[in-house]
Amino acid sequence: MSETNNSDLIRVTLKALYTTASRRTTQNFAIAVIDSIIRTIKDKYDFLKYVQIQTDYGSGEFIEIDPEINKIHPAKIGKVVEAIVQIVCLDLKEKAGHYFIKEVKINSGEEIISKLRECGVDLDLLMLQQQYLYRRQNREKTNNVDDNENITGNKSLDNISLLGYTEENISSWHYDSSNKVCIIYDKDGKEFDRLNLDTIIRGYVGTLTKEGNIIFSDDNVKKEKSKQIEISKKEFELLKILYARDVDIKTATDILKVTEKELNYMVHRLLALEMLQYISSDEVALTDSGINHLEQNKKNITNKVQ
Amino acid sequence: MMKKKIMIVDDEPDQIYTIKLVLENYSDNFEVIGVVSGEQCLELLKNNEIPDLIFLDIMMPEMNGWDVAAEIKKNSNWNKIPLIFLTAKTDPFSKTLGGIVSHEYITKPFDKKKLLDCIDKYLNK
Repeated sequence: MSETNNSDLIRVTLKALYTTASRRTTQNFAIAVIDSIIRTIKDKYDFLKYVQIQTDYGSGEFIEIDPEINKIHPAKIGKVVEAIVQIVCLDLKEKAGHYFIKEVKINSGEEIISKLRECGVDLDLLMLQQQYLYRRQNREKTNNVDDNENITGNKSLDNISLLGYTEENISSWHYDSSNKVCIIYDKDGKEFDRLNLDTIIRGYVGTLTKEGNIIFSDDNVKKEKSKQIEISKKEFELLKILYARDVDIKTATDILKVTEKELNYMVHRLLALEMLQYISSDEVALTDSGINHLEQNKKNITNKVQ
Repeated sequence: MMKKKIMIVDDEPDQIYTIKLVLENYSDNFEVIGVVSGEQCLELLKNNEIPDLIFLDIMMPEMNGWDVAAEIKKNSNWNKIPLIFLTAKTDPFSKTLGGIVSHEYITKPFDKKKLLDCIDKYLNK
């Protein structure tokens, strides 16, 4: 077997990243991702000048590596590989970072993984770190939810001021139906402000739902409505289980007391509602929307069950 | 003073209209160009209609936002244009990979403040 050199290590790592990224985006975009990463770290690792990414590659090889790179100390190559993996994982929240490294491992093969370990890159350790990060984020998220509930208690809508206008500074108002604006007048009868009620109501609803100044187009309203579909108690339980830990199909069916077919149906429904997403070919995890749904409804559902 | 050109690429005309409204209410200094497909965006760029900033949707029929971004990035005349993904794709992989190539990644329904912050940041208003 020929000895794995630096050039192979870089090439295989980048190819693994390409495979992972192109599955989630497109082949062209995956190349753009790799090109951006290499450009970002080129300043720090000068020897990356030997690596060229051909963004206009057609159907051929898009990674060109000058054999000169094989003269570089393997430890430095290890640093680069680690930097590449960490750039991608840095922003990946929840379990996605863990699964990304797992995919890199699968796509790299044993020989490369062991060579990387010799260069000081332990993908297993990186996976563990990512898993630890995920657990910590989960704990922090749970704590924050608890804290918010303690501080706010029952929300009183009466306390929320819309614009700060009061009887002190406003004398009258008039609704201009043709322009859909409300004109308000000050004590002297002068025009004080023109309010677009649609925008204000939408902003107000955004505030109440903690989403800030959200702009709702008709399309967004439709999407939001479609997401309000109720999920069943079992589906909610499934979300809770997946939020708390990794489970295989057998464990999930046992806990939920459903058949595998029923479980599959539930998973597909939650995928369609964008509460779950695939994070690898056969694994799913909660989306932001799934987590939000869980957090918003956890208390109500618990009360009902009790 | 020359107006800053902002291109919005989204297959939903409603979305273009909403963003346009936000930008025009914010400042008179913007010229907003709305295009409803990736192909149309590249066509304009090829015709030297170079904006100062691009908002790009991802999920579009025919040519999606990923491929449009890749095309923009590989062209030396266009790759310096601040590119901001504005999309309903909220999964962590899309956010991360999109964020590596673009200047910003904003998810829909969007936060008006975040959108305007980007404008300030990249157009030095």
